[in-house]
Amino acid sequence: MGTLYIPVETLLLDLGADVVVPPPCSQRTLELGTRLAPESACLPLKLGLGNFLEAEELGAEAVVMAGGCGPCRFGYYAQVQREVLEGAGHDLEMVVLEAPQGHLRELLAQLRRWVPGFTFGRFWRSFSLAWTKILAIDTVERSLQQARPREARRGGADAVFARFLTDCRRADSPRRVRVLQQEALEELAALSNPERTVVRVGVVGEIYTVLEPFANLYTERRLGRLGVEVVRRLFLGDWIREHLFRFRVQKERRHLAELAGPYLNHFVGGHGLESVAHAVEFARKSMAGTIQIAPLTCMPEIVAETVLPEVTADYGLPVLTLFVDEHTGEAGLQTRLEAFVDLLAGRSAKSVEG
Amino acid sequence: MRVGVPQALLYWTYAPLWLTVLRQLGAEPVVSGATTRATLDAGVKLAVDEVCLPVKVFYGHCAALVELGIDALFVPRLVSVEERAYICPKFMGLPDMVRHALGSRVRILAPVVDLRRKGSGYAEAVAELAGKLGRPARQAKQALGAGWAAQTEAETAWERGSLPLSTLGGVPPLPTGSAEKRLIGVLGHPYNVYDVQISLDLLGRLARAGWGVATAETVPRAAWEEGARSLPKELFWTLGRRVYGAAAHLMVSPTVEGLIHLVSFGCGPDSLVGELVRREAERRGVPFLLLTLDEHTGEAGVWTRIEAFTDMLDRREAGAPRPS
Repeated sequence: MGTLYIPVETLLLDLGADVVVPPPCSQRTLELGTRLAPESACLPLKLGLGNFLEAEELGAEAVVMAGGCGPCRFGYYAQVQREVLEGAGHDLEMVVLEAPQGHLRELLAQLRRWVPGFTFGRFWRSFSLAWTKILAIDTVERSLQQARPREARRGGADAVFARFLTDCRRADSPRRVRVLQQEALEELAALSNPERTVVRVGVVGEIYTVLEPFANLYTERRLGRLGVEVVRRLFLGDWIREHLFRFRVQKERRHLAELAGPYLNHFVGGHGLESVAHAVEFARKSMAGTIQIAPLTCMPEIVAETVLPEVTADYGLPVLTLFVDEHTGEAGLQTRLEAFVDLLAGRSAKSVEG
Repeated sequence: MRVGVPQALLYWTYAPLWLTVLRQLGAEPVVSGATTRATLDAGVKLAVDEVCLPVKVFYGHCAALVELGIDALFVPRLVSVEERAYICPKFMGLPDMVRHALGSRVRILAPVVDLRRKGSGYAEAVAELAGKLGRPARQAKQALGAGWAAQTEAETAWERGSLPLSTLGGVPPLPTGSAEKRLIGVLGHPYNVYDVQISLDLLGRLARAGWGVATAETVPRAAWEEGARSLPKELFWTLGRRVYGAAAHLMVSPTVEGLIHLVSFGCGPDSLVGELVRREAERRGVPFLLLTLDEHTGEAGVWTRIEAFTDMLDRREAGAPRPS
């Protein structure tokens, strides 16, 4: 999922595990996954399965996968993927990390079982390095979102980000990571033209399809090239905080529930409630529009999609919902994004005249 | 107070409980009646495309009830009705979704049942409902007691073969597991299996073709619970557990010749549960047919597939023994 592989690889390598990182998601990953996966399962399951198969080709003997306890389907992915792999005759052991909501201790106990020479002290050191990387990547990515629509040369900002990721992956100390972060931020600032007017658009939705650029067909990059500054609240760091240190985010959860309350009065699994809450927040911060991204048949996001028109009605916030699956076509997506951005530009021109 | 109760979704599972509770609390429940093509079409118009067929049908029933002139609509928010399990995200957001679909034209009664949290169980839900209906809290306890009695009685009848199709849906009873009938197991969420419009009368058609039908509701609780526990990790969807558990039980039952699994297109839990059932059936050599339904499903196509399936069962019966 997105850049998650970097901190996870860092953590496991540092702990002394022998790590294979599959290639980034590609058409091939999707085809491998789609061939074996249940037809109506959602896109992240299929891509995950493809990742496992590509890791196996590189010699992996076991794969690490997270578990969960619902109601989103993700919590049961690993079980189905294991069945599917076994059924297709793949001898790939699945290590399922059940992170039982907020019980970091149990997760550590699980890690202890399969990492040789595991101690909490050592784990803490490795974990801080991985955590520093996560925060650095999130910070640079936020800056990338601002730089894209303002870059002087097309693709310049993405090139800086790609180089930063490569260096960050190899970095072996938190200090080195912070140096890289600073360099990347300066480079991004240098190539942006602050004078350029941009349209600010919020992105909400299901976390995997939002964070994995291949899954959303590089929607954020496409938007950047259309002169859109993307703003989103979902980042890797927040996601991990939410799952491992639940007690620290109670206050924020209450805030989100208040924002979404008038439209959706209950947690619905996944990021359904967050999608509604973030859309309200974006509307109040006068974004030009919001785009919701989710896998086709995603249950929590369908609930959010149903009530989002009320946010549109109350705040005049245009919302575009994109459901993606293995059949999503590039041209069709590009056309929809262009039409949406044109609509936003037309609205803001009108408001200037009026 | 006239309280509208849509004959859709969990009506097919919990109607005895909630109808009794409503009556005990002095309300007059108005049930919307069987789904028709018109109900379905009205629901499709009110919903976003991606919502599954049974939820669209639910909207249709709600709209029909509002037309009838009711004082409130009963749409409980059933988050979790057993420990460590949810129903489905759509049920958690259902009152909000209905309110959006119908606008503010109607008052919605939405007691919350969430057994994962303290202080939001059935007792609290019914107490809240009593308050909304202007009844003292002490009546809530009695109403809930009567509700559970009715529910237990209904479930016992289902296990004995009087399906919700007739006890809740008013359709004349079908012949089920009599000794000389050959049996087909029909799996799926009750709101799909027993809704004649959604299921395209699957149960009736099978019965008229001479088949006996076993559904998840005919399987005793102990048996399906055991089946559900046979998975390495238990499912966290209530309906999915029931379907998988019943499937596991029916698969080893010597009188059941094949299984038909009815799912709605886009059903999240069933996209995984269905796969697990299919694989288990394959391992055990039990014939299995997956029927995916949505509002575009053509009746003729579905029936052709069912005929092909039953023909295949006939050939197996006449010819080679079951592979093991």
